[in-house]
Amino acid sequence: MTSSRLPDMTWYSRFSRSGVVSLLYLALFFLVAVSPVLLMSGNSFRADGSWSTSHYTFLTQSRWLALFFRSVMLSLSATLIAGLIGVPLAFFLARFTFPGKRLASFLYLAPLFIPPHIHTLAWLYLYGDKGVVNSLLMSAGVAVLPVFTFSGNTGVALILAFSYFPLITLLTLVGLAGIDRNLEESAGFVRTPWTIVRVITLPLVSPYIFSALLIVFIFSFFNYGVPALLRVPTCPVEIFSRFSAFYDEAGAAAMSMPAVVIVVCAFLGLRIWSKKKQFTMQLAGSRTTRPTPVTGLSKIFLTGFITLMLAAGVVLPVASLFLQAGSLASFIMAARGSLREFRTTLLVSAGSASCITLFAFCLGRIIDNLSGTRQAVAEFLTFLPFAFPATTLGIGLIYLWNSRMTGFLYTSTAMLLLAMTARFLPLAIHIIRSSLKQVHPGLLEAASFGRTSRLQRWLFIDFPLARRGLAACWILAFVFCTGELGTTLLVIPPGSGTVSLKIYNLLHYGAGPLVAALALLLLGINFTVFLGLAKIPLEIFGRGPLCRN
Amino acid sequence: MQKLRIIPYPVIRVKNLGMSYGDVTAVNDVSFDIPIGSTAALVGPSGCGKTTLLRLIAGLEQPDRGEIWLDDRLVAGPKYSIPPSSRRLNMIFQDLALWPHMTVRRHIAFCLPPGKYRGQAKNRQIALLTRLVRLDSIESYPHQLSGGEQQRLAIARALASEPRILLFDEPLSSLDRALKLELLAEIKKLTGKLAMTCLYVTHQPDEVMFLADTVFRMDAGSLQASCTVEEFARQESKKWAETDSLLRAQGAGRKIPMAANGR
Repeated sequence: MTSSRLPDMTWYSRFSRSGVVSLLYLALFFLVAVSPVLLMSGNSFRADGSWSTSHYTFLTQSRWLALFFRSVMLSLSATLIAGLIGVPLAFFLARFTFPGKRLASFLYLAPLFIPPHIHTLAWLYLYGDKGVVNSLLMSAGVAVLPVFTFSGNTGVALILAFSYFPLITLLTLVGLAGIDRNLEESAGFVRTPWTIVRVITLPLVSPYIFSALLIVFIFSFFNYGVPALLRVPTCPVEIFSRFSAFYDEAGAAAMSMPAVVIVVCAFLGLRIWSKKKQFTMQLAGSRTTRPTPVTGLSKIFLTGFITLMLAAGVVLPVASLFLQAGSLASFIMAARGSLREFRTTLLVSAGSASCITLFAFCLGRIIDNLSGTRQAVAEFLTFLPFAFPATTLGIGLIYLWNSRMTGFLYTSTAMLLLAMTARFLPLAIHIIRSSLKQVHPGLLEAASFGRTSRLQRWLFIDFPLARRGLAACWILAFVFCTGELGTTLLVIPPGSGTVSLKIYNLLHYGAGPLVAALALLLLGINFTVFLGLAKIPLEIFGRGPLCRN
Repeated sequence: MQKLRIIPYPVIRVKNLGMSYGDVTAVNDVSFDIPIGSTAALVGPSGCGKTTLLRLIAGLEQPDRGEIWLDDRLVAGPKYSIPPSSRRLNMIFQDLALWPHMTVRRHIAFCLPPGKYRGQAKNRQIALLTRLVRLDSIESYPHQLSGGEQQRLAIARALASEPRILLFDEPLSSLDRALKLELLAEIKKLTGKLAMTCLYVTHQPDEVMFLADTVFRMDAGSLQASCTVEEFARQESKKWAETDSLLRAQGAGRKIPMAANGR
């Protein structure tokens, strides 16, 4: 046997230029998003300058166990309710035509444009002890005491479910759009539509549904604003108070670890499960199932369900906010008094969304080009920051950037941009990778034969093909950044402020009309950005096979 | 004494069928009959409306004009359409449309007539069908099968529902010649044995000559002509001869070998 000898090479010549660029991207991601959470994880095992598990004594306390159990149950309930609303809604929107479908297909996104703590305000105004419904019932003599006691665990679960169900609908719609119509039509010769949905469509779209459910579970579990406002003690509330009231950063980090373990286990479980279900999804240019018109009883049921859900999740909360705002004067006052906050919010959110989208796109492509263990490790590392509560991430960022050398960054608005990027980048990578899967690899390979540079290929082939995913990612990142609270509360530079933070502060002073007006202005901005941006990718890159719908 | 002439009973009857996608007319005033147990081929250039016509008969599209009768029963008109599952037909798609999350066994089990086979009878029927199409790997997923096995699975799945009519939408277009001929022979044997009425969409003359009894030519959404397979073969030979002489006249000077020109 002859042994092949490699030519003499310096160690660095074995790396290609693209490999080095990929490593740089991954290193940057590690610095921005992974290092703060790893730092906090390490800190949770240190006390008085040595390794210790003293911060974990809370694990034996029954109070903490009850708190943890409540958090898990609340987020599970919220996820379940959101799934029960979001999945059927996606099926109805994708597979049927009915009166008002166009309106419903963008109206369902509205709850995402309002931060969950503002949902709380709207729901309390309607169904709280002194809310509109109870007051009406009592003044009409129907009841002596409030009928609806919208507070506690039920309130938290319902508000979180109605805040996040659009995420499930959105991701399920992406999955449904990826199923070739022939797969469903070929089953149509032998079975009824409901059997086809159960046996063919649901299994094919299940990876999308389950990853959406996991995202909603994480968001619900780590939500700080809703339980804090409804005075329900949960893990994130406890973590925040551990840090802000006792300045116990390591203790706060330790408290987030059990949740991190649960989320990471769920992620790994989902990954192993979905690995077995990597079905060939539709590629750009193939055909999706055409929606069928509904008639008779189905029409009544379907329109009834959609009307009910949109009324509960969108119309009533928005109407409630309008009622609270009262008059135009509230809007003028809110706008005048918060110009600086609006400017900061818009700049930070737009900047963060752009950074997040671009970075997520590059990392998504890099991860897709990896294989085997390397891909699994990269996927895990890009998910890891998302498995930490926003509060812990915020503390980690303070630890990392509040030093003499990086003080200039820490005290500037750029810190907010960094925090938002660290917070939402993992989610963006997930969304971008889902959309990139639907681009035929051959289209990129075909471009690699020409004498085009990598940048040209990205600009003229990759970006236009992935434009819908990129636009969706930018919009979602922008919306989440405008409503972010958990990390912002901790890293906001002195003298700076965001609209979401101002709303949260005003809520504690009971300035109802002003808060409602601010929330509606924020909703208006998000909707305008959404409607504007939904068009832009088509205008820039022209109409192609991805724009069929 | 007057001779008694048996007229074959038409299983597929299409009357003045028409369908448009917006301003584009995909199928325009098409009428034909296909008798019981025979195989008709639908040929024509790409985009001439062959697949749309097949999808109309299958019940996957609804016509704007005309009628479709299957087994002497009106199944589709502009204001009336019964679902594909009630038409006692099945279709083999161009991309086969095999369900990626189901094994061979589950594919066939899912397509057996609901409630007809249970327990052992169901297993026997699955085994029979897999033997019929010579499929061995019953617990495999579609991506674990070779191209030919995937085709066989698509055929087995279609046969499992016990259809009276089988529609083919260029199912063999992506296969090499040897495998294609092997599968064509199997399709011919199976459809003959089960006395099925078939409509086969293709633009490959050799497939037409191998399978069909009748040939319908389509162009720009309309039915241009119908002929027997013998006439079709003569027309194709003539076409090749014309092409050959044109090439010679232009100085290309390359004689097309007989084996390659489809004769």
